[in-house]
This record gives sequence, structure tokens and C-alpha cells, in this order.
Amino acid sequence: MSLLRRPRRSRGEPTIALINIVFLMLIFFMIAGTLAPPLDRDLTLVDTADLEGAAPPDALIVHSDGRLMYGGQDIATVTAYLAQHEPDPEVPIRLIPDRALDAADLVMLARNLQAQTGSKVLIVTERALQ
Amino acid sequence: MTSLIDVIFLLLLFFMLSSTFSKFAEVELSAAVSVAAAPSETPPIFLELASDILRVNGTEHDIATLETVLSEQADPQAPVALLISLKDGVSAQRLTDLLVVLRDIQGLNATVLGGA
Repeated sequence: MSLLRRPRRSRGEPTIALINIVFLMLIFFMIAGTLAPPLDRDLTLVDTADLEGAAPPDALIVHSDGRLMYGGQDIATVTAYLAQHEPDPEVPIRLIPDRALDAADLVMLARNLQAQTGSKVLIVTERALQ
Repeated sequence: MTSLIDVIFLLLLFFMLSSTFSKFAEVELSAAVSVAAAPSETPPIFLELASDILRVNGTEHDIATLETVLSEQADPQAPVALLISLKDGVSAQRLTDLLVVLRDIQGLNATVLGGA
């Protein structure tokens, strides 16, 4: 009992304040961030400003040298990609091109995909912060 | 108390490291690359896109003023065909910039030539 009654000289860290700040940061990251699988590190997306936002995509990545990538793995050809994905004309195909990719290659790829599946082809871009 | 902070820190670290802040957007490409273009009475508009120059029917324009130029010629009742010719060295960024401008204009049937 005498231990409890003894006045404490030093009160440790202000724990409640610390928790408050950490909670605040936690809530900020939970609300503001989006959980999405990372795209490839050396891909710089096409930059646009005047489009509506869209959900983080599950899409075919096209590097600036024309390499295809899906789900973190290299894909040799369009046919190989379509072999993995049952083409459904209702579901649009999303492409994420590097901004330095040659536009003629992009058009050719889109035309190829559209001819083989009949579905819409969308370009996924990065929306600039305003 | 300490265990509570431990757990909260753990959650904080998880959300800090796993979340991404880039916002995505989409623009349709397939309408512009589909081969079939409906024939129309009005002569088509010819747009030439190079990496630094943009010409509409031979006259140079800026991409910022393109919307007003094309809106005058577009007609929502009878869509006018717009043929886009890509020069060498045009990047995906440049083409997307153009597509973003074009998607706001009603009454245009844009088709990208070549690359077949």
C-alpha cells in the first residue's frame, strides 16, 4: 500500500497523446490510400487531367519498348495473354501503356486485341493531381 | 497500454507501406482504331499528328485550341469522319492527349489510320 501512495516523481511518456497522433495517421492512410497491387516499377503512366477517376485497374501493361506484362509476369504475345483470359466481348480490355510507347505500336496492339476479342479497349492513365 | 500502441503501429505501418496514392483514369481507344468507318456525305476532316506539330486539314493548330476548331466542323446529327494520321515518333502520351480532347466533342467519328 505504501508503494501506491507514494507520489510519483517522473511521469513517463505522454502515451495518450502519442496514441492520438498515431491513430490520426492510421485513419488518414486507411481513408486516403488505395490498396492495389503495384504496377511495374519502371513504368511511367500516361498523364491526363480532364478524365473521371477509375478504380485501380487489372490490366495489360505495355512497356515503352513494346514488352507486354500482366500480373507481374512477362507475356510474349497477345495470343498468350488471351490464352490466359477467356475473352468476353462484354468486358473491356484495359491497357496501361508507358507514356513513351510509340503510338503506332499502341494502335496496332489495340486493333489486334479488338479483332481477336471484339471487346472495347481502354487506355488506363494516371490522373494528375490538381 | 503498450500492447495497444504496438498493434496500432503495426496497422499504421501496414497501411503506409501498402497503400498507393496514384489515381487512375480511363479513355477509350477502340472506337478510334476500329477499321469500319461509316461513309458520310460530308468530306472527312484530316488530322495529322506529329510529335510536335498538329495539322487539321493542312493548317497548323495547337492542341489547346483544337477543341474549338473541331467543334465548329462537327455535327451531332450527321457525324463527320475524322481521319487521324500518326507520324513517326508520336508517343502514347501524345495520342492520349488527342483522344482526351476528341472524346468531349460530339458528332465526330475519329479513326486512326495506318498501323494495320
